[in-house]
Amino acid sequence: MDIAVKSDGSHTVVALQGRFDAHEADPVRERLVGAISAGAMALTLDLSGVTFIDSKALALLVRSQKECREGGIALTLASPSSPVQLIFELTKLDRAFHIVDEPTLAESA
Amino acid sequence: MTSRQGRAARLDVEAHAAAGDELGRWLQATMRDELGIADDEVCAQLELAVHEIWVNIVEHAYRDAGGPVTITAARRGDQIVFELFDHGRDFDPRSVPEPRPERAQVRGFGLSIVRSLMDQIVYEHTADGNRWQLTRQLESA
Repeated sequence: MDIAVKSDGSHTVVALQGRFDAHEADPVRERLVGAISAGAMALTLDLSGVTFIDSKALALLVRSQKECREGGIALTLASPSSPVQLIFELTKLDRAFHIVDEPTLAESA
Repeated sequence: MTSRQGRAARLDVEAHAAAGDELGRWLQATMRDELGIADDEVCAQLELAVHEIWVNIVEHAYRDAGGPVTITAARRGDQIVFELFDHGRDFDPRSVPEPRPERAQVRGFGLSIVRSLMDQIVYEHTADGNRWQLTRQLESA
């Protein structure tokens, strides 16, 4: 999986490209933790390039959402691809997240 | 290793999370080229179901220590059947909490996802190990 990070200081966009499964969950978590450590108060996860997602990656999203909420950090999921939409549909977990169509840095302004 | 027998295929793969990509590529190629499934959405659903059982084997049967897994895929008319075999510990479904979306819990979604995607799931523990059989009836064209 390719992970691209863009930041304007307080808002960081992490874009995932490729397979997001049990094997890739830890690297993604490291990037999210790194962004928070760097001072991000808003995180957007761009899921438009995700070609496959499993329940372990979904669990990472749930855990991240919980930790961000507890830390006062806004976590947004952007542009979920078809595989992401499928797993949300099956688990009904989309209701647990703030989901937007486009992953723009400006949305946190 | 992959072998072909008519409209059936077999993969021997190591139970390690890093092998998920290999499993995914084999499943997609097998479903399209060997089993003749042309619907992208159905292929995505079936890949997710088989992958979730495989992850269960990685974590529960072999406890992340690795081990051999054999996966077969077959088509009988409009019925698609996947079987997964391992030699790890037996699986106790009671060890997995029922998913509760309203609580956004972290565990318990894997098997729930498989139940949603497949028409029948059979699990049995034998002297040789564990056998999972997943069946899905395709809609006739």
